[in-house]
Amino acid sequence: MPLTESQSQQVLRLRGISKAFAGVPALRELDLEVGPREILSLIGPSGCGKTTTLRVIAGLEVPDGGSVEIAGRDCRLLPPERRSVGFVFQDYALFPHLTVAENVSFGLDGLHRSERKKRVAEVLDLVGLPEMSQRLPRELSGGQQQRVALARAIAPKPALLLLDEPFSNLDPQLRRQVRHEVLAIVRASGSAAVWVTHDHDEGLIVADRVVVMKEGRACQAGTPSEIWRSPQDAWVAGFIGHGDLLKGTVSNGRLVTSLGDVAANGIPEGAEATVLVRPEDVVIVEHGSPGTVVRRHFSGSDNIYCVQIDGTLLHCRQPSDVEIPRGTEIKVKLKSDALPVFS
Amino acid sequence: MIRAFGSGTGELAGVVLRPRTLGLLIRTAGLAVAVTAAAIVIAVPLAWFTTRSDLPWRRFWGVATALPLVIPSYVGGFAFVAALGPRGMLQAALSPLGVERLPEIYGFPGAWLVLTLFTYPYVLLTTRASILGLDSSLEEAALTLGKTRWEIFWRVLVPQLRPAVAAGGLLVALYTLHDFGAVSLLRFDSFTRAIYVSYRGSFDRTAAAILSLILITLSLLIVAAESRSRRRADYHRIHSGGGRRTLVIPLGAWRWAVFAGCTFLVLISLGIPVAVIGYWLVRGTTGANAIEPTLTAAFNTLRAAAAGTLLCLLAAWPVAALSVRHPSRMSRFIETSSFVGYALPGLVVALSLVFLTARWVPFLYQGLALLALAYGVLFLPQAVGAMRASLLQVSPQLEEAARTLGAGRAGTFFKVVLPLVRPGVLAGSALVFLTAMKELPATLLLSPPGFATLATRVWGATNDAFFARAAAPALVLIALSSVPLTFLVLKERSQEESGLARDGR
Repeated sequence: MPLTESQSQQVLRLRGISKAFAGVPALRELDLEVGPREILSLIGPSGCGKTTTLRVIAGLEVPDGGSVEIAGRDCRLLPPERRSVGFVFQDYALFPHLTVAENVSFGLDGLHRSERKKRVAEVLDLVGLPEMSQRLPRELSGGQQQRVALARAIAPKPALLLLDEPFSNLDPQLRRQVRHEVLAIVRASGSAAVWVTHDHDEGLIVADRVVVMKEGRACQAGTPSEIWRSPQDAWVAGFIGHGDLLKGTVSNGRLVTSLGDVAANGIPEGAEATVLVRPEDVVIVEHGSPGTVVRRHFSGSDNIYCVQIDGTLLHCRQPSDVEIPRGTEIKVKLKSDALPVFS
Repeated sequence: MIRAFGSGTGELAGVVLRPRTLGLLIRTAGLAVAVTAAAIVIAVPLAWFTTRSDLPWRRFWGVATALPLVIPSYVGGFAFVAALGPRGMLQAALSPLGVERLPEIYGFPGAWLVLTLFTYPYVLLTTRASILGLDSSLEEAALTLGKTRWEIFWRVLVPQLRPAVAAGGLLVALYTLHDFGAVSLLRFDSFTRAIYVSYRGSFDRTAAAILSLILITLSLLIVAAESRSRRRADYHRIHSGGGRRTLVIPLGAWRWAVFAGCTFLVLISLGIPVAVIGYWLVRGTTGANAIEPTLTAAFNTLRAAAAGTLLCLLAAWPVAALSVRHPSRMSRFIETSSFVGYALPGLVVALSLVFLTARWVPFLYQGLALLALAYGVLFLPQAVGAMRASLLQVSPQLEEAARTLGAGRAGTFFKVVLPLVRPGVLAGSALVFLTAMKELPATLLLSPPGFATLATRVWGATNDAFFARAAAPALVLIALSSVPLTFLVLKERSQEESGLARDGR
């Protein structure tokens, strides 16, 4: 079958990948594609097969079935060293016996001496550590080790960069800062990337496209805003978080809940259904459903009030200067009529 | 084995059930138990004092108390016989005071004393390594829970150290069971001596084979017991490698008492042998003509030990790599069977190799290769153990990282794995080399004709009570053995200082 233009341009194509460990399936018929310069994030709870997917792409695991194509080459049986992938490991896996410069030049054996030196300097510049080249990994901080690991992976100019939970060993403060730096470096390197994380916020922030995985399958793929705005089912909505799931019954084409009704989006009459309500979808009004403020989370830029309505708890976002004491009776309603609804 | 079963069951039962055999069994096992217990009693507190307390000259004692390991038991045995035996140096010195008789050195007390003094460093070294790897935060946690030092020692430290103490104790027990030199010199009738006598003396090879089998069975039982205790204790190691700050605990008024204890121990375990050897070296009239044969023997010793070590390393690598990287029932089996070497007395391995080669491969018989092979079989477990431990510290992710960066299997091995395991492998080699140099019975039985090593020269001379002739080779042997041991102890020190934060888990 002749390849069409768009198919041949994909940097990575996985088709029907299956992999089981000791009889327990980790990946089931997984399909995945990554385009040139695209950053794809794989998110999902632990044990959903994200890391296994990455290891199959890198050739560190041999899949039981399916095909792996990298830059148009069939790679299923190719050893890792011939796949042109860069891997950033969760624990960085820097070689403890080599200096930073030696670590970075490890994958540059094919280059001439002077070119190798030039490339090492170039990459260390890119990650902002030009003065650290003679240090040993154990003399660096966690964030610096992270950047060396990244420099080492991009130095050979791989077709595809694979990042396995790259920030799981950094504290949250540092994580936010390093995330932007790393993202900029990956963009600047020009490689396509697959970025694995269990942190859904991170997955949405860094990616051009997001794939949500569950039990070895890709259960939803789309741009970050698509995933955010229209999760495909209650499970994805729950995983992405930052929202309450409100139950109701469909009547006259509307889903009726304790907070009013929304469009039922074709769910049959009389059926039980759920609507995803994010804090910004709840507004305080003169006439609406009565509730009681039970908690306040103050995060600086806004206040999230937890409101109890008919025994269910709902979150409502307000500007940071709106202060409502605990126990106050308020009335709320849904801001919009078009919210994600799941049967 | 073939010998034993070739003899027919009737004879087998005859030898096994002989009352003499039962007596041998009780005596040998009793000695092993007594020596192991004494070694643990000496070594465990010593390990603690030399790592955790403010003992004066702590670092010096760290090295000095490990050094008796370089003195082969037959050298120690001869030193104690010369010093404390009838008409020995001590009695000669005391006779003007009217002391006519000293407590009997021959038999059980002497063998017990000598073997304990020269094997306790096994327990010392394993326990100390374990203490250095412990996480002090556990002790700190216990302190904040209101426990006293003494309670912490028993309830926090001892349970965590148990696997290390058991491993060291295993080495001591097996050394005692397999020792041939000291028990022979001190005229203690143990299994090895009986085997040697029935082989050399009466050429009763069947009896020798049967006694060997009993000895091997006894050793295997001990190995099995130890590995069982180790399996149960695996979870104790969860915390190793955490915070590496070592708490130094002030001993207060006890400092100088412990100092005196260390001095006394080093004086009798190192001072007596060195003094006795020095005395005979000076007194020996053959001083000048002893130099050349001693040099030849030293050269031979190094050659044989080097060949054995090399063989050991080559055989140990695949076993260790397989068991660490591809754990399976098969690799476990291979690893376990390599540990059988622990249970095989040198004497028995030598006898069986003599028997096998004389019958089937005569061109190997009495060649250097055969001696190296015996060393290989005997010391394989030590080499496998060292390699396994260092390989376990190399995270498989490092190998994977190298692969994704374009290095093939061979490239990964030479550029990543080998540099990282080198310190551990060197330490293992030093240990094998040290043990091979000291090895007596296998060397005695398998040396090519005219091939004298330091061990065989010392043995030959002391057996004939020519102490003066034994002095030079014994001294050279001790000096040569000190080199790898010092290397080992210093490596442990540097590990303690750098805290060696290995990357990757």
